[in-house]
Amino acid sequence: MATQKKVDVVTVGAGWTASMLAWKFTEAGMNVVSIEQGPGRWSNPGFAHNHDALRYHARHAMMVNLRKETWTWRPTPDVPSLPMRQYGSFNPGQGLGGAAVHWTAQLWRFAPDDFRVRSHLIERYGEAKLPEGNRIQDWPVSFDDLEPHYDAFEQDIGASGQAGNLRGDLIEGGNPFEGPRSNPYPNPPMAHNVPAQMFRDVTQEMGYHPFPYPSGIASRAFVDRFGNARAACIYCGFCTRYGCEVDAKSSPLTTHLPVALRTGRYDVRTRSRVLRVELDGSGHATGLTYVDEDGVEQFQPADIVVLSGFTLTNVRMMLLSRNDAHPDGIGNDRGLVGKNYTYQHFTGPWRGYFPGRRFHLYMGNGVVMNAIYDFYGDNFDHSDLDFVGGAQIFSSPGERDPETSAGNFPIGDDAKTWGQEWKDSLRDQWNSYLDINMEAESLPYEDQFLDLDPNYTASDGQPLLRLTFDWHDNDTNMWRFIAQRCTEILEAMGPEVAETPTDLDPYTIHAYQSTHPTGGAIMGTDPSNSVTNSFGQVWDTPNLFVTGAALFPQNPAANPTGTVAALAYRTGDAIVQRYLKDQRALLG
Amino acid sequence: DALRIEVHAHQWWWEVRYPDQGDGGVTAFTTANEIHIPTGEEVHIDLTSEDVIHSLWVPQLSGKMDLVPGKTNTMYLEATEDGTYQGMCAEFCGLQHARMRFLVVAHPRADFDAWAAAQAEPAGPPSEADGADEGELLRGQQVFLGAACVYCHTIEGTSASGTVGPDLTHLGSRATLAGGTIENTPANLAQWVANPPSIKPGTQMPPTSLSGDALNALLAYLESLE
Repeated sequence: MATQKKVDVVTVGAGWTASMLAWKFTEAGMNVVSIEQGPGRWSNPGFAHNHDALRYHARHAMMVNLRKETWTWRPTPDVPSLPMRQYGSFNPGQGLGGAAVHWTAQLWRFAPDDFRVRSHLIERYGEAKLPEGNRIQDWPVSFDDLEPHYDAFEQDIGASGQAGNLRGDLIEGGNPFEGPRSNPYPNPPMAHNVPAQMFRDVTQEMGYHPFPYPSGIASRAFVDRFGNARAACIYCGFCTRYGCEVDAKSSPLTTHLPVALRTGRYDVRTRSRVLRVELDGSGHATGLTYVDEDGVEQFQPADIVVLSGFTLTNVRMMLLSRNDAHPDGIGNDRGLVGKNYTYQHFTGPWRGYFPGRRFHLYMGNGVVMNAIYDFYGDNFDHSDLDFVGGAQIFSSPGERDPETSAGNFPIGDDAKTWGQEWKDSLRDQWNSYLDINMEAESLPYEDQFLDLDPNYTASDGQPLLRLTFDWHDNDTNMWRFIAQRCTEILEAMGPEVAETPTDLDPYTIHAYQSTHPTGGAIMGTDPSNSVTNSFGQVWDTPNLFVTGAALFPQNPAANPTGTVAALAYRTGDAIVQRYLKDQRALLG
Repeated sequence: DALRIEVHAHQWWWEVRYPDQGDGGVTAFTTANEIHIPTGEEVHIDLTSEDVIHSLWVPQLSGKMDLVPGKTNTMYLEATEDGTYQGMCAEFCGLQHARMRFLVVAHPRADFDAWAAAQAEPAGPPSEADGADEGELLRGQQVFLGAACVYCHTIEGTSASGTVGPDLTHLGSRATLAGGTIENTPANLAQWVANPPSIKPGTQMPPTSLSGDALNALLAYLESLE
C-alpha cells in the first residue's frame, strides 16, 4: 500500500458537503483531497441527450452499483436480515457531485420546532403522549442558529421560491408555518402546472395555506455569486435521477466544485473506494485507506478527516474503522453509532381521473407543485389524536416519462390490467389524471438502528451495513389521518374516478420511498446522548467531522438537503475560523 | 505539420471544430458554417456526419468528399490566394440540402492566428462595445439563458452547453446565418430567431414566442458575440 502526500483535509466522496467544504477550505488556503467511488462526469458532455428513462430511472445508471455494495435489512431484531439486491427504498448516488447531481431539488428549511421536537411535544401534550420506545431528542442547534447558513446556501445556489415569513412578517402566498427568513428567495417560484393551480384553489377554499414548493432549480436566468451566468429550467420532465443538461438544477457541478478545483488546492480522485478511516494509538483519525481506480490500495493522510458520504456510508465507515482506542468503531465508545436511524413514509399517491382534461405532466420537474404545511409537524392539535407528528401534502410533479409511467393503469377499481381494456385506459387516462402526495415524518425508536451485518459483505470484503427498521403504530395512525385529508382534497377537486390508497404499506426495502434515511451518527449536547457535537465533530475523535443527514436526531417531514447544506456551511465556517487555531480541540 | 480541422455535418449546417494543435498555437474551439484557413498552407480536414450522408464541396478549391455517418473521411484543402470561397453540400441530405452552404475564408497566417485566438476566447460578460447598451446586452443574455435556447446551443463563458445546434460563442463574427444561406444582418437574425421555418422549412429550430423588448435584447446580445 502506498502512502500519498499528506494534506490538510481528506473527505469521503465528492458530494455536495465535500464540495462546499472544499470551497471554503481551499479559499482559506487549505489543501483538500476527496476520494470518490463513482466516475467523474460533467454536465457537458455527460448529461447531453440523457432523456433515457430506462437507463436512468428504471436501471439507476447514476446510483451505487449494488453488486459492489448494498445494504441488508430486517424489520425487527428477531428476524434474519437479507441484502437488497435490486433498488430499492432509497437510491444513493455516486460520481462527481454525488447524489446532489440527480436530486429532485426539493429544498427545505426545517421549521423552528423541528429542532426541539421532544421539548415541544412534552410542553404541549405531556411525556405520555410520546410513542412507546421512542428516542426523540432535541437538536443541539436551533433554527435561529442555522438561519444565516440556510440563507447563504439559498442565495449561493439561486434557490427559487416564495417567502412566507420575512423577518417576522407573514407574506401572502408563502408558507405561514416556516421560520422567519432574513431574505427573500433569490429567484421566484417555478412555473406551475394545472394540477398545482387546482390544488391551490381547492386547498384555499378548505381554509388551508398552499404555497409554491421551494426549489433548488433556477426558475429564471441569473448570475450566481460565483459569477456564472446560469440558465433557467426548461421543464424537460427528466429531472429526478438525471443530471441536468442545461445546468438549471443546482448541484455541486454548477456551484462549489468548479470554484474549489480552480484554486489548484483541491484534488478529486474518482473511481476510488474508501475502505476505512485509519486511527492512531491516541484514537485520532490519521487519514483514509482507499482502493484507487487501478485496484491498488492507497493511504491518504490528513489532519482532518470528513465523513461526507451518504448517511448510510458514513455510519458504516465509523463502524468499520476500529483500533484498540476505539474497539467498537469511531464515535461508538458508548454504543450510540447507528442509533436514531429513521426515515419518512410516502405511501400514496391519491389519483384523480378527469376525462377530457389534459394535464401534460410530461413537462415539468419535481418541484412544480403547491404544498400545504397545515398538517405538518405539530401545526395542528393532536390532543384527541392517537399519534404525534405530521406530513406535507402536495400536488403532482411534472416528471411523467413514458416508460415508467405506463405501469399503473387503469385508475380505479374493477379494471383490467391487461388487454384491450388496459390499452384503452392507458390512452384515455395517461394525460388526464393528477395525483396528490404526502411526505410524512417517521420518528426514531429503540428497535430501529444501524449496525454491521454478521453474514454479508461488500466487494471490499468488509461487512455490509444492516438496517433494522419498520413502521410503528404512530406511523400507521398518522398515515390514516393524513390519508383522510388527502382524500378530502382529491374529492374536492371533483374527479370522475378517485383512487385512494387503503392503508400504509408495510415497510419493505424494495419499494422506493425516498432517499432520506437519517441518523446513525446524531448530534447532541454531550457525549452521553450523541456521537457528535453540533458541528458534526465526533466527541472522541475531534479531528473527524461527519456531515449529512446521519447527524439528524430525527427526521421531520421535509427533505434533508437544505439542512444538510446549512449544517455543512456552519461546520465549514467553524473549522476555518476557529478549529484551525486549536486543532483537535472540541468546538464549543 | 498541417493544421487539423474537423468538420461534422448535420442536417442542415456544418459544425467546424478546431482541436488543440498541440504546438502552443491554436487552442480548441468550435464554430459553424465557416472554415478559416491560413493561405498557402495545406489543411487536413477530418469529415464525419451526425445523421445522413452529406458531401463537402468548395468548387474553387477542391473536389467533393462525402461525410458518411459512422465513418471518418479525410481531405486536404489549400488556398493559394487570400479570399472567401463558397462551399456547399453536394450530396442530397433532406429537405434543406440546397440551403446547407458554408464559406471557406483564407487569410495570411498571422491574421489566421489572430482569428483563431479570438475564437478560442469564451464570451465575456456583456459589456459596452461599439456603443451597445450594457444593460440591454445583459438582459439579452438573461433572455437567452431563460428561454429554451440553452437546450440546443453553446455559448462558452455561460452555462449554455447544448450541442444540438451551432455553437454561438462568436456568432457576431460570422458572415452568414442559417447554414451559410443568409447574410448575418440584424434584420436577418431577427427573422431567423423569430421564425426559422419561414426561411428554412423543416429546420429543427422552432419559432419563438419572444417579442418586443425581450427579442430585441436577445438579438443585441447575439450580435455582440463577436
